[in-house]
Amino acid sequence: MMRTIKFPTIACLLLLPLLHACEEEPDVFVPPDPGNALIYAYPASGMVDLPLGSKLLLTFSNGIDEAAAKEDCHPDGDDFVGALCLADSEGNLVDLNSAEVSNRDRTLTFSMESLRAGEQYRLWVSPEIAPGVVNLEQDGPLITFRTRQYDPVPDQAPEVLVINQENPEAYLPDSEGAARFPFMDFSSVRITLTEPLVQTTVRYGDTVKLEHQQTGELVDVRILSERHYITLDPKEDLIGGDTYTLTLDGLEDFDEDLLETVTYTLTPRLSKDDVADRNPPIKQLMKAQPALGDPGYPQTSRLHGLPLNQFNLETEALGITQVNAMPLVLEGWMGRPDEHVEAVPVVARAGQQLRITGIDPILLGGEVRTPMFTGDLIGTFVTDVTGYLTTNPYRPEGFQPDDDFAPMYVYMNFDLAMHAVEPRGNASVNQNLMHVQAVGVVDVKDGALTFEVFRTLELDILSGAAKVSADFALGVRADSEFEFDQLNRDPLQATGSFPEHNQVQVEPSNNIIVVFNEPVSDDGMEGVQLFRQNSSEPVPIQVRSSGSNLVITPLNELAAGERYNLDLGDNLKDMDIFDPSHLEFVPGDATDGSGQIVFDTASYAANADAPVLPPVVLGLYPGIGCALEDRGVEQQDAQGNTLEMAGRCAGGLAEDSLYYPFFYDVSRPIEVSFNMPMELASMTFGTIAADGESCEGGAMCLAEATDSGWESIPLSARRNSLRLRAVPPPNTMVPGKAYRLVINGGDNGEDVFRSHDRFDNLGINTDPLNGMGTCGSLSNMPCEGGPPILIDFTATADVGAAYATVLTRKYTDVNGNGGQDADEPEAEKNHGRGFVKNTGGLIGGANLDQGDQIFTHAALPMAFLPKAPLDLSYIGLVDEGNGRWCATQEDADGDVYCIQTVGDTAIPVEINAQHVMGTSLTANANLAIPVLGDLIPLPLETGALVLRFRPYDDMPPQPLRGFVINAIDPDTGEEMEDPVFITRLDAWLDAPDVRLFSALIPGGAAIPNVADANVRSLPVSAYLNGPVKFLRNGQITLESSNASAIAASLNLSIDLGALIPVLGDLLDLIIGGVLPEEGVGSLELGIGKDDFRIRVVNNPAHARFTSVGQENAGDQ
Amino acid sequence: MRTTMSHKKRFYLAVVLGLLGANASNASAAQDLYGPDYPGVKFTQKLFGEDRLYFRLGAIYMSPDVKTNSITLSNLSEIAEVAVEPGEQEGDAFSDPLTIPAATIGYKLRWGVWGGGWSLETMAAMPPTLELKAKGRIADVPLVTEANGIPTGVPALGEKVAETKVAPPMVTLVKRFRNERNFRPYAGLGVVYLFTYDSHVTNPILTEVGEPELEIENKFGWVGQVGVDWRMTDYWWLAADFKYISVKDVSATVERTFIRAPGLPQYQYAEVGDAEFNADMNVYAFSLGVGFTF
Repeated sequence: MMRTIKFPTIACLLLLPLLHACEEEPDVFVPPDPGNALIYAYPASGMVDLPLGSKLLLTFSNGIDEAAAKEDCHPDGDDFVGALCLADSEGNLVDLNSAEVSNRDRTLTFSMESLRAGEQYRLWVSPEIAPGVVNLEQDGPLITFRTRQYDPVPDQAPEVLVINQENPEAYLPDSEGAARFPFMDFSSVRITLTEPLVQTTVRYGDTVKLEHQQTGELVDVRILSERHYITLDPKEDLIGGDTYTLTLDGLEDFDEDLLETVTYTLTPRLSKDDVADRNPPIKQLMKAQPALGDPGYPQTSRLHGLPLNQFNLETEALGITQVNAMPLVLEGWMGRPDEHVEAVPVVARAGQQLRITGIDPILLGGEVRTPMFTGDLIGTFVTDVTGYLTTNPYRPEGFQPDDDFAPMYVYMNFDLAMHAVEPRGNASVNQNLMHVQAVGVVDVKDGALTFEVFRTLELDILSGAAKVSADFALGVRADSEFEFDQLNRDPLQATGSFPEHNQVQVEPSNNIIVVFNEPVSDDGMEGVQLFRQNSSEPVPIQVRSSGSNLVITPLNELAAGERYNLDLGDNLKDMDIFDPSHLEFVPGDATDGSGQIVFDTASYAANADAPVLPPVVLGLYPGIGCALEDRGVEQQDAQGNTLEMAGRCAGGLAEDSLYYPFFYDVSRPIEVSFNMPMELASMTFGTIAADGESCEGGAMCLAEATDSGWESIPLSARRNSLRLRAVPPPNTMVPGKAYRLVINGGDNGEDVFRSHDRFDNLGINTDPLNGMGTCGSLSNMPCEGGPPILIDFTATADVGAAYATVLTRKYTDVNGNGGQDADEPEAEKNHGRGFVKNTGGLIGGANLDQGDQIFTHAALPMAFLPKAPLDLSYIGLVDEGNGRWCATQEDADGDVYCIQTVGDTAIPVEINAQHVMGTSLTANANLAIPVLGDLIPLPLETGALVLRFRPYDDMPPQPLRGFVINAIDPDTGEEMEDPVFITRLDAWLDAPDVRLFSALIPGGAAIPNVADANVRSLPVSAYLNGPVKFLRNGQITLESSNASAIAASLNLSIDLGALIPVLGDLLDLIIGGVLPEEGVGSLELGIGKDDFRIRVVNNPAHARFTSVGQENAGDQ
Repeated sequence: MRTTMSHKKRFYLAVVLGLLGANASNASAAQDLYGPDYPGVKFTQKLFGEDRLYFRLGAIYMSPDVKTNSITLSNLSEIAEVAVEPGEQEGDAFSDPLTIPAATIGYKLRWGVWGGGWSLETMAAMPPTLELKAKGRIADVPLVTEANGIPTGVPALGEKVAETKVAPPMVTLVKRFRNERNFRPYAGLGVVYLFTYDSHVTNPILTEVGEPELEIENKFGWVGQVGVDWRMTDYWWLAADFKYISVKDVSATVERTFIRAPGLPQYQYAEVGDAEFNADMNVYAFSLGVGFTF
């Protein structure tokens, strides 16, 4: 309000004769009233790749009318009319009733969880949302944005979605469109694509080129590439004013769809006073403030009303962890605002860090304690941070900035490598957050510029098993007086690796991953080399960095049965901007101080007399890897609900219990795991046949149940030799709907999954219980084929579970032939050691000597569900009070299993019923002839064993589950450091290829058709428990063993006449009538406590998935 | 021609001039009027008495000597605080000398103390426009070179700051010596009231967006004077006078200042805050004039 100088009127009057005039009022400037307004919105218009956990924020200078905001919207041509309307690209409105108003009614928040992946959305906002606002009179939508596409998209070629968050068309030659922000000389080139790429197709200088147009020289860049992101960070700034060309030629997605070759032209703008300068002219020192330890911390964010520099990591997997920002100082450089009026460029050089408090300790579900700590979480900017300051975008051009009504805006673009201080925690959480754009406002407060930027970050935790969203409002103050610490205190160290140093039986086609304590600089990576033993010629590899990992991809499958040596070289160093430290080798590091990781690939060699078996589906999600019978039989669960049961594996007994119906969490991929390396080219997808019983044109297909039958759903897939990970198009699977997954058996000549060439390219066996290697007229041929695997399932919504298909590792039978071959070392943590407890009938005596071990191989799709009250009655234990739970029946040794738990919360673990393959067991039995005694040695070889998970027969139908709990060590009476996984494993044991040998036949060869064993659906049951451990290479292990003894009785039917044609007749003559034509005997096998062990691990986050064409990319 | 002032009029005169002149007026009431027969002389003599009122008309040369005590920035806006620290700034204010026509009006008292020769004087003049200027760092060096390291592009303020009209009424008690001679030195002491009005900031940088408010404190001070009168005729005099006028601790406040920062074109204007100048206003004033005594 204008103020007028007080004039002493009386004095003026008195002195009037002396004064020639009274004063004139000054022409004081009165700033115009900016009016109430929308002052901030997230996402900013045009943003893409928004994680589905993101928050939509609208912040006003005045109060929001919540009721108006939630009123219905109405279509008006291509637009919608209403206070607040959100619609997808097809014009479907999104229900915004879950939106919340907070921050003194200034902020409206809406979670994007219900939005669809990879979808373009438009947001209309009108003045009715906050009566009195003056800046919402725009035509059309206020904001458009696109959600993240996580998975490959079937039948669609990849496209460039944005370059530096700009429409790429703006960079096409002769384009008339203009980018919103100038491309600067210091800018990284961030290419965001519509779907993930096969990384071996991303080769700088070949498929990706950034060249100086005039000279044609390739620009020296640091390249970061993963998923659907490529960042080229020139090692020296580009020359402002010159033109560069960016060419993409030959990039492929996982379906081998090729990105159309395209060349963009980029003409960077000079940010500096002189081209030769290292940085733009204006230096800024910025510090998170107030941060932990500062007075007044935490302040409230004006953007969303929640604490500034403090946020919650909230996930079902880990509960809620409050995280606080630490006060680290960053150095930034700014171009001259008077030369860059529309957008003032800002850069912070790569190598600088943000630091936040970590998760200490990690509590599963927020309740179950683990011994794992992350220590502080550190975010290292792995490429230059590019930013822009602008006036408020929701005001007319040239509008006077006003902290309250029209604050300045800041856009920050960066790639952040997240890592943690503690090695094991780091291995589980380290990752790159790529192409992040944070948007915020700039205030002038207390004599300094203060930046407040917001971004929902989505982090993978537990090596990708779960995701966590963090709504991070970062408050930064710029002040040249800040102390800028340039010391580098942490030397670079390699803390873990996959495979581990000196590991054997390594898959030749997988990636090699080395985990460091901090991100690794691009400089020195060329010194990382892989050598085959006794060769000085390095193996062609691709080296990429992600988080604090180095991911090394051999461009050709490694040779089987060879020793390799990964030499990390002498020049690796960290990314510290001022004082990079070189890699330090110390005892106990991933190389054991040697600087080299040595490993042996699996040879897959089989013994000469070993059978050749076809592959089987070891693990399947959803479903089980066997052809099913009795599908759809109705049963009632404990609540009286009628269930259509999933069926039982073909080849088992008709009275086998039926599996619980299959469900499919729509956030998970369809996963098929195999028991031996497969031919990638056989992993094809077809369409479902009209009868729904097979797939046409491919080995596997997916279909939705419709009124008229089945409607095929296309699939895209990532493949490796042991696993197929398939996904339907985004948002196709709808919770509640019925679907069918079909895997061809091949009996009718359909396409089928086939084993790798080295295993004779055999077709898959879909009914292994009917035999695996005993087909053909002589019962010695591989049993390929079988009925189709038909998995009927219902889609369910994502409940936030952490999921993974865990694999038995290490495991013995890498070639999947059902036996331990000479080249296959004993995997003592994945085996069962049996003994003969008793014999009966015609079996006079028996023992298991050298062959008393069964080595197991499994792939178990598991899901760590949201925490629940601890209740082990689900697995048949009874609560005896004070945390003590006991079995209701004695085990095979007459003992009663009990466990002493701690706490009252458990993490239920969904175990999808699968079959576990076991190696053959040999029993040396003697056939006892009445009167004559143990006359005939009768060696029994089970052949490959199949251990099928069995529903609990003593309970109504229910899903199989285990639990992760805290428990007391029965030996020490102290609480165990590691959480404990406990479950009751009820299973059927099958030996489809059981064979009896006769010592009467030279060589002890098997005699076909003389014996039948009831090693068919042989029930066994035991409680398994063991620790959950976190490894330094990021893998999580469940190490379980049987806590209760196991026993199983094998009944043998023996055709004595066939077995001993002469002697039998003679005996019949002597003791005619005493010996029946069909002899019967039994063997009771036992497995003592702790002798059945299973150790499963998740796949590393950077395990290799590729396409058929890129399996041996080095050939190209 | 002589006329006699009535007792009644004299009484009124005494009331108007106050107590200081009361005794004298009583003493002179019986004197006869004298003086030339100029228009108004008699009338004036009737009002004030004979040989009582005098005036000098001439020119006065005033040389201000401003002693800057402080230049303080306060109530800075948030954005101003980014660029400059609140508190005292380096620099000085000054004002150029000026010469203006002026009149001195005096009234002789009839005190017999120390031989008489007492009178009360005041000055009358067209109020001068005083240009307030700055020098030193505040004028020569840009006050806000950078805001958070960002060059503001705001140039140095320069010399010109503001102007104001000054009407400093003063009253001095003057003692003249050698009253029987033609050459009469004198000395005086009195009070002055610094009264300013119509004050405006004139600095082009400070007025680019709009004119700030300028308020200069009105304040009492003291004045000392010496001079000499030379009697040319019975009634006409030549006079030379020197005054030292001092008003201590005068404050001037500039408020609602908005400037443009060329280095930050994103801002159409930037609010600054308040600036307070505090100074001792001393003026050396020389005057020469011709006077007449009624």
